[in-house]
Amino acid sequence: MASLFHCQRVYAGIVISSTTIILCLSSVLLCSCPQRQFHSNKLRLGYLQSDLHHLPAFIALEKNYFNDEGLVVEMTGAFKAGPELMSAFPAHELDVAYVGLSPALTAVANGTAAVKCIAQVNQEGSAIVVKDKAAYNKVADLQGRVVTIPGHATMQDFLLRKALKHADIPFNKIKLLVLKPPEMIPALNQGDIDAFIVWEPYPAKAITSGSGKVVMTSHDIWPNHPCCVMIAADDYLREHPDSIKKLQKVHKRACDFIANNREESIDIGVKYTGMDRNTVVTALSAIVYDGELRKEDVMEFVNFLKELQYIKNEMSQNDLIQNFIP
Amino acid sequence: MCLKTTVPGNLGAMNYITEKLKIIFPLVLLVLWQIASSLGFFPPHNIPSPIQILNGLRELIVIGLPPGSSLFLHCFESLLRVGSGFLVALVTAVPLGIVVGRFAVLRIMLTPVIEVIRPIPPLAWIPLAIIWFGIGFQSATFIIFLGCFFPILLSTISGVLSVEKRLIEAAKTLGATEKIIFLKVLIPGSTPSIFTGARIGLGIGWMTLVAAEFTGVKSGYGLGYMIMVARDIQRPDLVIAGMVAIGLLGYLLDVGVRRFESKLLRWR
Repeated sequence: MASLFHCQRVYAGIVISSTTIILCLSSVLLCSCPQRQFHSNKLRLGYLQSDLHHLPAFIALEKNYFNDEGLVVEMTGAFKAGPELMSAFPAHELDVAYVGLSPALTAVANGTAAVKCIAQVNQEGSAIVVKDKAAYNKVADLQGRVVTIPGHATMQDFLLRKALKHADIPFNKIKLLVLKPPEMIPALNQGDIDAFIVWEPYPAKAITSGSGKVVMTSHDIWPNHPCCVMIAADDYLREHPDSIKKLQKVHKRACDFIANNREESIDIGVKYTGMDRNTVVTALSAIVYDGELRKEDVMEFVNFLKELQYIKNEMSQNDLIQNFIP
Repeated sequence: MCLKTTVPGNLGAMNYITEKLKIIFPLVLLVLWQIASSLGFFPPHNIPSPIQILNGLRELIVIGLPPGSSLFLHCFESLLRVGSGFLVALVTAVPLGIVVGRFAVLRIMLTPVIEVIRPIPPLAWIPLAIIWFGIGFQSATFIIFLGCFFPILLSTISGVLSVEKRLIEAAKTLGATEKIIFLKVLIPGSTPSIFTGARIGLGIGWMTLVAAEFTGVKSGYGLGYMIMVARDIQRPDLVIAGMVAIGLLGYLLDVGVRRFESKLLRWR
């Protein structure tokens, strides 16, 4: 009898625990499918932390340009990296963001976010840096050395490959290492790496801190190359066409401000990046704000992503670009 | 009579079902997940279906991530890192735990230090790990070591404390030296606890792997590193496939440790 009772208890236990686990998992999974929450009059904005490429965003916030256009901006956050920022779009936490062309394109191509480019933020603004006292001072000298990029499939990954190709060095002849930008200068100082390629203000910081010297700027590698863009979620774009026009106006105004008010722009850059003034001054000289996003440049970058199988083959290059740049 | 013949049969069937549930239940969950995905309950690019994840695993094996870097080499490198961190933790935490467990003075002195350091997450050690050990294998091993060390240490101390005092007293009465007490009483007595700590430590070691490989991977291989690349190119299917690989490796290692434990502790 006791054993029969035991059997019944086991059956009941199995049923109860299975149901509980399935219910728990279902609720977790269902909760992870957020529904779009419409914020009728609020624009949720994001940008990358300490990235001087996003100075137009800092200027627009600081000078209240968004308010001037009647846009109520709610800062979703300053993200640490592009992929992290892009994941906020499918989570329906962002409407508009300043981000690198690469994470935005990769997200669209791989279907993880439905966004479109509404403006180009900057051109150029990256550099290859080696140790200040290094005997080597050109890209050709990087053969056999440890070179760091901020991530695979980034603009810097592409620029490095392009620079090495120009110098006739096969890509597999360098020792590639991925490090986050803030870790690159300490790694260079410690001798863990021989060179890095990254966006501003880190190359400028390496120069002003006496840690490194620039061997090639991204202007030398690919003149006027696209870098960061302003993107909007597809549904926001569809439902708020007027706001998009206002955003483009705000962006243009911020870029004009940078061109005409250098000193104040530097102050705002210092405030938002936490870097010293000297670094921001040096960095700003390497970044070109504004300019138009050229489809042929984007095509070159998309071809690179496709060639290295970083993006899926579900969409043709042309369709991807048409979809991304309306 | 009837009960005597049927009940063992029922119990046998129950054991059989319970054993099979280990396989059936996860399969049922996977089927439900796939059905929900196929019916469109989950957005495929945010919560990939089991079939997409399986395809992701195939892609990691055939193409690799970054392309050309096979899943097996990522597994091998991660196993080396976890294995090294775990072994260093084992050879330091076990002797320390036995000594601390044996001598109350040491326990009183070290407990506050242990309790202050123990809750610090391995991720917080990354900047220091890079400064102390540079970028690469050593700093990653250090982060994993930190994850493994404290569960093994605390379990060893608890194992020594659980050894019955009368056994130590009896050994002393029979003229056993401190060395004999350590070797013949404390170590065998605390071995079950040490194994429990080792299993927990190994699990935590795997959990710290992704953080450890955040410190930079010079070889270009490692499961944590691979997951970060998948994140950079925004492929949740490959992220989950990488997680599955970590889970499976961790499970297999745990099974190995348990088998070793049951062989070594047959006397239990």
